Amino acid sequence: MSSIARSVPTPKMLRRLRIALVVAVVAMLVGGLSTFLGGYAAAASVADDVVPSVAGVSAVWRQLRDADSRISDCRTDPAGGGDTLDCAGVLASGEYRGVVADAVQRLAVLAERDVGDDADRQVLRVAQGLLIRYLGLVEQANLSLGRGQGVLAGAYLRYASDLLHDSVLTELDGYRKVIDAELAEQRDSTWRAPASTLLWLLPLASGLALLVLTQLYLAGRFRRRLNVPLAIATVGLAGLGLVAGQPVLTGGRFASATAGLERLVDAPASDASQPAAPDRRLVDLTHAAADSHSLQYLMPLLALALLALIVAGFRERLREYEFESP
Amino acid sequence: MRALRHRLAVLLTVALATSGAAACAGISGESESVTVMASWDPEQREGAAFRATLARFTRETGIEVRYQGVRTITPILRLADLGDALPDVAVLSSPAELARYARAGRLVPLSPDEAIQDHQLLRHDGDRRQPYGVVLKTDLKSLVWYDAAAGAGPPRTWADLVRRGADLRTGGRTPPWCLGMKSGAESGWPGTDWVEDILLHQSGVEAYRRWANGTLAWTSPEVRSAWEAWRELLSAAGMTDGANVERMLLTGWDQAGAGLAGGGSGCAMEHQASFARALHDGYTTFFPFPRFAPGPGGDSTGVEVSVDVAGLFSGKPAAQRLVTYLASRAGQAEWTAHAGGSFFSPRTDLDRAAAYTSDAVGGQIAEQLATTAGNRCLDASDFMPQTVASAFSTAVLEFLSDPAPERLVPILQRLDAIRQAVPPAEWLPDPCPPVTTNR
Repeated sequence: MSSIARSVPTPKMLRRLRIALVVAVVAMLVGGLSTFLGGYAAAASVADDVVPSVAGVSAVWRQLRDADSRISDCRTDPAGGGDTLDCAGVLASGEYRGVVADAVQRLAVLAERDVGDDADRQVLRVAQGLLIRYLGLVEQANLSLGRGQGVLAGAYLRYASDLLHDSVLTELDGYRKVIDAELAEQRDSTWRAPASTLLWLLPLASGLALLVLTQLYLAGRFRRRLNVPLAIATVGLAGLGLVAGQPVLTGGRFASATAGLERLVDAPASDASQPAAPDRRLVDLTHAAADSHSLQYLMPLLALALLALIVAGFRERLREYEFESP
Repeated sequence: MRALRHRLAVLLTVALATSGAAACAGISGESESVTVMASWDPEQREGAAFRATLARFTRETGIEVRYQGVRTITPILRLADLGDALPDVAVLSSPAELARYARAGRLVPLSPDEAIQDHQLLRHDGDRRQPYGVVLKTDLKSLVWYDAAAGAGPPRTWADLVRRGADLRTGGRTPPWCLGMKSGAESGWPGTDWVEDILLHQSGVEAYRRWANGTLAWTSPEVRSAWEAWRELLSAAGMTDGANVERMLLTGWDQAGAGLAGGGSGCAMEHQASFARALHDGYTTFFPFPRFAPGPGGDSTGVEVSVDVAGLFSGKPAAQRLVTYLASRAGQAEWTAHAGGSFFSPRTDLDRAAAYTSDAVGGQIAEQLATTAGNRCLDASDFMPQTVASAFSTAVLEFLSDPAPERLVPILQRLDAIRQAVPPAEWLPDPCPPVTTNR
């Protein structure tokens, strides 16, 4: 630097330093904003799509299984006695219609979420189609009971129950794997990878180094201890780095949230162990991990201020050479 | 909203970088992909064979194929249609259902190709130019599998068959018939196969044709006689007793013949199609559906077959290419090689001897399909409009749950009312089309 500084005329050197600082700040802004937004987009996807999907599948699973157990445990022979409920009464209540309609609607809402691709979400359509068939079979049982065909009604209820357990719940379990894959994709998002931090860390380091060197150069040339605008810019650039590093600094929260969700999604689901929904603490954690506190708007403002300070820091010194021939 | 804001900003920020990457991808060429939906479970033998054939296609063309196997394909495809999320290709066992999509303008007409034999193509009546479906797979339905250890050789006539059931019952094989109606939302279809086969063999091809195309009433003597003959067979074998009725209704169609070849005291005969060979290895001996004594129907030489038909739901050239490959001689040979004797080609130019070298039973079925090529009738319930087919399955369950003679007429009257309510345009004309051997 010193040999270059000695060989290059001062105004030219000042302009070069100014350009280099502007480039460093712009690169810092682009790199920092990209990783910041990318990192928080991954967290937002987990909070806004994955969490409701896990909760939705759990809710549909539970309500269907509960309604079906009431249907499949009832007796089709009215004279059968015992403690079991009479199917005619259970079916006449029409509860199953409401449950299936609600489940189909929930699945339609789940299919709108940005989890997996179109082909992955086809699983939900399959489950919806099967639920409509399930409803048809229970209706047939109801009709058969009305005609006094208890054996046939019992068969239809068995078909319905088997369809639910062997097909509908299996498809829902398949969709849990899609959610799991989506979760893994967001967890391993490129924007959250350590290498991505270089996108803003390198311009930050270069910018800070340039600012320090500029101060030294100016002190040597103009016998001033400190260029105040550039000193403020140094602090501002460090602040910009702090903002850009938020996804890294709050990464622990995001990691805890995804790990908690993974435990839920990876847990095997069966009649005995139904898929669980995320609890309040986990939901809050995912939302906290996705909350950027709108710092993304601060970054361009900070960068603009830095550019203004850099321009101001060089202006007085360059003005001293205004009337010299280039 | 927050996610949207983030994504928008990310998009803006990285647009420059990604446009470069996209340009690179454009230069190198993105791989094409096709989605296929069919009813074969990817985890089972039929599905595995299909996937292996798709994998070969991908290796040869570089076109990725994403397969979705769903047993209840009909309602799921209808739902996908409503959601505008149809696959590029769907393989259905019901030509009537595929024709429904064609009528609704949802299918892309297939471009005839030298690699597809003419008789593989399904066309609208009167429109010879634009086929809407291609038959990819055929199965022989007029079969009765049996336990060779259970008695004398194959029955020759229907009366022999009825008697065989009674003899087996007396001999301690209870129940004599392997019969399972449970099949999810389609429960009852194994019974429809019985009625169809009886009608075809008892009253002949012409009566079958008229019944399947909606011009013969369910209450006609021919149809009623088929149901009554089935009841006679079941009754003689003791299948209409309370415990057996429940067993028939609650046994899965794919489990009914699980102990067929095991000897012992279990069932010893099963009326099931050739695709049963994909279920387990017990299907080793069969006889053709026996003839009835000559009756008013005249021609009783027909055999019942089922088909799996592919339809194109997108105009992607890759999808058309896939369908052409699957129907082609090369594709069919590949499929046969992977299916372990459970795949039978609709093509007439496959080398059957080579395809079934180490599988005598598969070879016999393939041979039978070839020799009966002129008398094949498509499964009537697959050929009828979906509404009628569903009612038919339901009627079978109702009939079996209480096969008293007086219950049959109301069941048939109900079916006939449904038949008359279906618009004529929804019926297909000919379930027994001639098979030409050209091309």
